[in-house]
Amino acid sequence: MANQSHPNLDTVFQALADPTRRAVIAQLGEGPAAVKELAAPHDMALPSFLKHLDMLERSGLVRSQKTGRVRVCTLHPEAFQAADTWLDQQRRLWTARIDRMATLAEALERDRPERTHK
Amino acid sequence: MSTEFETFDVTREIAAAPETVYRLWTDPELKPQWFAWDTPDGWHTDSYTADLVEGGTERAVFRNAQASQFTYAARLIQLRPNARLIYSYTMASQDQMISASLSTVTLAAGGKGTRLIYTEQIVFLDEGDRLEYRLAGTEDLLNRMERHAEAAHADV
Repeated sequence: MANQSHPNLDTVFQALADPTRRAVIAQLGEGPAAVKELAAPHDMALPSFLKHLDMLERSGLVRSQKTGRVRVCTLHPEAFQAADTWLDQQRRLWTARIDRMATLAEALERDRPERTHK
Repeated sequence: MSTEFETFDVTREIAAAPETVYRLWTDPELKPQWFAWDTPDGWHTDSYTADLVEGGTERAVFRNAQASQFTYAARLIQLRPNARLIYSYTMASQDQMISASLSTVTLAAGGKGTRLIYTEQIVFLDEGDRLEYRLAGTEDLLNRMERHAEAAHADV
């Protein structure tokens, strides 16, 4: 579950690159809505609409939950921040630190007096 | 109030003996050379103090690329020479706690010298993971969306 809040930015861009999907996001900006309500304004067959919804869900921007027979969608705009969440910052920070640490360790190792270790 | 958990790890093979790598984590002269170092993507260290022994503490004040200031406070839980380090730390901004972490560093002889695995189990407190994020209504959302869509289009 937690991973869904850190989607790939590519899938976010992809999700936004279509007018139908942007309209769905705008509608969900007003509050959660059932799939049926979301599909209503769009002149397309339900399976086609569901494909759009699926792409939005994969991006992390939209999540859905089934309540009885109704599937309700909610907007998760934090996916817009996918590129720079605190977790991403920390992960990048630690990768940079450990790269630097490894470089220093290797330099130190080279300067060590000759010794045998397997 | 929100509480979210994540785990991330960084693995490296280092062409140096575990004793050398261990020194980088515990020598008070060596550790700041990489830990309190300005990173390529804009992290800067304002201050650093440490007592790198079991039960000791480590404190630092960092600034990220957006110039937000963060206070790092760690406590060293276990130091096993040349093999393992465990410590906990918190990050706070303007006296508000953002995250609390448990970090485990394991060192093993292997590969070109040492195989290091850094694992951090992190809990975000009260929206800490969305620090920069403020939703100013649908209009703002749509503006962002347009910008992202244009950027996506331009990338094609």
